[in-house]
Amino acid sequence: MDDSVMKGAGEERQAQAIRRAERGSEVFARAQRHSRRVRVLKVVLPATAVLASAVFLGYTLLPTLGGSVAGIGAASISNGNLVIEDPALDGFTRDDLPYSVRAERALQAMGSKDQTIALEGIRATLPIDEQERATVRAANGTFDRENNHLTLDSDITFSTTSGLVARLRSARIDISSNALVTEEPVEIEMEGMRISADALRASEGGKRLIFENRVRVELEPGKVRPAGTQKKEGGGDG
Amino acid sequence: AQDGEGRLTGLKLSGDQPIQIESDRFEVDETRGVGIFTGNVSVVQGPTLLKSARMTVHYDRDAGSATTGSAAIQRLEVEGGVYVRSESQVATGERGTFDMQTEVLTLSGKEVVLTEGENVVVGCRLTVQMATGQAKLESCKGEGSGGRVRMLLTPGSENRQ
Repeated sequence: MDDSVMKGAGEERQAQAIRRAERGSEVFARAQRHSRRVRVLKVVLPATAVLASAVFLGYTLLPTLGGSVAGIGAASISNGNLVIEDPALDGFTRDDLPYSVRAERALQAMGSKDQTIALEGIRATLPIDEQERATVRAANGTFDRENNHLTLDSDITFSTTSGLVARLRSARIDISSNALVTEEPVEIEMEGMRISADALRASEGGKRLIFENRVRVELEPGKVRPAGTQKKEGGGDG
Repeated sequence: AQDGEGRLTGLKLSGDQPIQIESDRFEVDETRGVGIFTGNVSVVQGPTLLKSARMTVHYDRDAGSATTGSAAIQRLEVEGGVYVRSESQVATGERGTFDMQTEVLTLSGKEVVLTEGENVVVGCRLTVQMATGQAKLESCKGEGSGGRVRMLLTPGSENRQ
């Protein structure tokens, strides 16, 4: 990151510190009474969304976790599970780009020691940059809060406005180290290029991808411009 | 030293046909702007086939990332023994490079062998202009072969040299 971004982040942190001090303790007390499940959601959903996008597009998109909870549907308790209907979370990434995460349902076993949360019908839209966005869909997954692992065990589709579509059958995501592993077939399709393999290990937020077992890459030479020719969106000296 | 000049009609990279690459492993490293294929690497385009143990694709990082598809490939490096076959010619060497912009393929190594039918030509460096098939085989200067391209012509083979 060049220094203007770092300076910006520094000033922003200072501003936040001052605001926090001014607000005084009673606000802090009220914040503490905020229910645990909201805090859980604040961690789970943005992490799911961001990691999935970072993994595929190689952009590290660590949002400020202070995403605002856009809304929570009915919360209910059914057969020992705390069930939250259509949890929705909107927020802004560190570069001030909007993201939104929806799930049809979030379930957590009440009082159980294990810290896993089941998520159903995950759908997220995430910014890639000012122009491009990605949408992530996964039928269901479980988030293990203890070791920050997210397991998506059903078909996952990931598509971007720039035309990249990725399909996985399952994925184990280690959120803290921003890495993803799948031992099931994966397919990535984009303009002029298609990659498929039977296993994929992605790390550094998708900056490093290792495809293994029956790797196939198909290229359309027309689309694979030799370096140095005019780029689509106007020449950059690059 | 005398270099072999000739036309390799077969070894051409046609601009429009899709390229298929297969391998055991393919690693993309965004920060270094490389994609590395390892293990039984095979590259097929139309009649042209290239096989090797390892192929590194260098792409222009500023033009987007490999995974967004807008990356522009600069050059390919092939190592661990290279076998290139096209309609009627076969070329082998230890290493190879292909520059996407100049469309020049070079094969180099202790013994670069070019075979067409029964004709065998051996040198140390084969340079092929893939757009036209124009090829130049340079001898191994100063090494055992006395700086000459060794050419084996099998009598009775129809094509006149």
